Amino acid sequence: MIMTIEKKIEGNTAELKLNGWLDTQTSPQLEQEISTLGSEITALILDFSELEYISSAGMRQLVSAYKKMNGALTLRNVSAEVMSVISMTGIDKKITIEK
Amino acid sequence: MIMHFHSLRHWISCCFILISLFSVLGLCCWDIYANYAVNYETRYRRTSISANVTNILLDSIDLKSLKSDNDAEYLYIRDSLRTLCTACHMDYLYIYTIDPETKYRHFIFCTARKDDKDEIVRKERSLGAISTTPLHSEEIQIMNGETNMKSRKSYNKFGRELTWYVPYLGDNNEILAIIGFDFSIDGGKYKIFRDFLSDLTFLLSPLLLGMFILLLLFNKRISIPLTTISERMTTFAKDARNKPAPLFINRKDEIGKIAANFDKMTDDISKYINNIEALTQERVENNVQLEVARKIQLGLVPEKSEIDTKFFKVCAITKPAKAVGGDFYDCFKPNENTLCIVIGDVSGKGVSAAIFMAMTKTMIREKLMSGCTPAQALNYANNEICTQNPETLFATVFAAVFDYKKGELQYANAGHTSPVLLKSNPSFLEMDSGIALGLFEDSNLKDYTINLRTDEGILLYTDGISEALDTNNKFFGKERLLETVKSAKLCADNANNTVDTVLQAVQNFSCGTEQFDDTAIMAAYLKSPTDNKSQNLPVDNSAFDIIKKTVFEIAGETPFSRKVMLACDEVLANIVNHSKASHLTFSCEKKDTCFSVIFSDDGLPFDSTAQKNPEKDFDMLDEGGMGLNIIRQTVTTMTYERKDNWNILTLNFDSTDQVPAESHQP
Repeated sequence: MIMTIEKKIEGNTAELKLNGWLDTQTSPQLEQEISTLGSEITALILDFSELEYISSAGMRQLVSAYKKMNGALTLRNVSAEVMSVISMTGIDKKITIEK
Repeated sequence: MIMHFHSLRHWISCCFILISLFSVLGLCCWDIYANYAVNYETRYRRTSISANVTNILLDSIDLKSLKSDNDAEYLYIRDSLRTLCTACHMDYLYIYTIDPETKYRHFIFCTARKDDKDEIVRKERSLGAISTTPLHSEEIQIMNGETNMKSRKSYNKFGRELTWYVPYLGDNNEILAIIGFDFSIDGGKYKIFRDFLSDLTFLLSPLLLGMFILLLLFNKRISIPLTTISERMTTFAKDARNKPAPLFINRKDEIGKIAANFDKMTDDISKYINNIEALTQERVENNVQLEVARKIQLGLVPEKSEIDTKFFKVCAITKPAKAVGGDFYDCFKPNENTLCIVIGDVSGKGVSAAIFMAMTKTMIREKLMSGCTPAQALNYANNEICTQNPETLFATVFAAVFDYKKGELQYANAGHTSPVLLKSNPSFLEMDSGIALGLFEDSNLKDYTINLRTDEGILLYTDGISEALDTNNKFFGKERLLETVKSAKLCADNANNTVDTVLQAVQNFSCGTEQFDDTAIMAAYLKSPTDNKSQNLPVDNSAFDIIKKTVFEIAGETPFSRKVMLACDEVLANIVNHSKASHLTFSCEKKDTCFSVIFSDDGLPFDSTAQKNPEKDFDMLDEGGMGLNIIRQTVTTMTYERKDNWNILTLNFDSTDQVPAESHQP
């Protein structure tokens, strides 16, 4: 499935808007994006308003991103469906999720 | 009287001899008859005449007045009587009276024809001589007046005589004397013999000679030609292959016609027989050749063939017809994951067709074994054949390759009957029918590809099936074949049953009519680890899109179906990353509110249901471990089975389940 990522950088904060499915096939794209973020980026916001689906591969990327950002990771506009999946793993206890 | 003659000649000769004998015999009898009867007749007449003459003579004298036998009158009468006796060719002529009391004969005259005899009777029987010999009955009869003439035969010193007695009557019809006329019947036998000889010489001989000449003529003109014809015919009848020597009988009559017709007929017959022999010889040779060809072909194409592996099940049966056709099939596995099947129909009969079949089959197999596609293999075979095909033999061939990993069937067709696709709804494989191998140099056949699920396959066959005839000369036909296939349970386990069902249907249809064309039929299936038809998927993440397409086709794109996809995603990831599987199948089914999905992989045994929930710290979660958790929380029920080296994982989703809003912390 195709996923597109829109990147917006404001100062030290990067915002990535994910459109589509974050699954085993597309999570390398996210990994790629995050790894190209410069060291000046200290906070990462992921906009999930267009995200339809997330699987464990995607969530591994979230954990990895969290570690890289030293916890400065925020998820925004998470749909109920995606939220229910995230909550299955319990990572929502650590990662900041803005409704 | 039965006599068997072997020759006309003998028969005729026998007849001739018989006729001769009978003629001679007849002549003999005639002569005997003549001498007695005829002579008797003659003598009677002579006697009558003589009697008249004697009467006249005696009338001229008075008998009683005769005194001496030296009287001139007596001598005169006596001379006259002797003359008469001689003239009438009698032996004796005598006149005498009979004394009524003594019954003695009193001679008056007695003359004899022969001189010496006359001398004797002149002395012994002259006037007044008496004979005391008892009267004969004939004399008595004359004396009694009972008769006027009477004869009797006698044999005494005077010789063998026939005597006629005639009375000399006076004016008042009183008997004055008896006249005796003696005819010699002596030397009768000699006379007969003499007559017989003269008749034989002058009468019979010319006749017999004439007959003999006729016999010779018959022999030459009829018997000899007929014998020749008969002999030639006998020889010819023994061995009609050799035309007999011509007869050269150029006559216009029946014999000539027979000869001419004989020549012509024997000519025709011997030609005909020689032709028949040549034809029969040819046919025997032909049959021997066909027999050899049949043996070759039976060796090349076993009557029944089966393949039963982890991934494929194949059953092939061929029934050669009496007149060897040229159907062949082939099935082999270049490797564990691929299966090649080929079916073909070679034109022509005989050893060259058998060799052609062997070459074609081998070439195609070689190419497919080395990894060529079906079209490549067929094109190659076609080119090879066309470079040297003096008898313009050709073969229709269909070749296909199954790839289990991809769940694909790749195929190409060179003019063969299009196979039946063995799916839930069977149909004929769609494709360009192509051209048979061996006809044109540039065949340019193309490959086609379709996807097959497990427990699906194709049925290959030759026109011995589709063109099987019933008693009304109607074809079995492709529609009927399709109907028959539809009636069978189509799955890999039933490969044999599929084939048998079709063969039984054909046999019932043709019920008893002799199979005149070869029949070959092959059913090849992808095997299924489960009872469901599954798709074969590549064991990599690209399978995800295929799964998604399938699931969304069935269940639409809804949060529910996305939940299903989530579970599938995790299962697939596990399989791809950890199972070391080389083959993966996937099937899904929606029943009412329940949606179930089955994954089968041939990797390491792994029971997802038995695993404990992994406990992982958050910091470790980027390395994985969340998948199983997600699966468990997504599915309604999950079951696992290990069967035939397959891991079979069944996930059931009930759409009435709430999408869990709460998370569970393990």
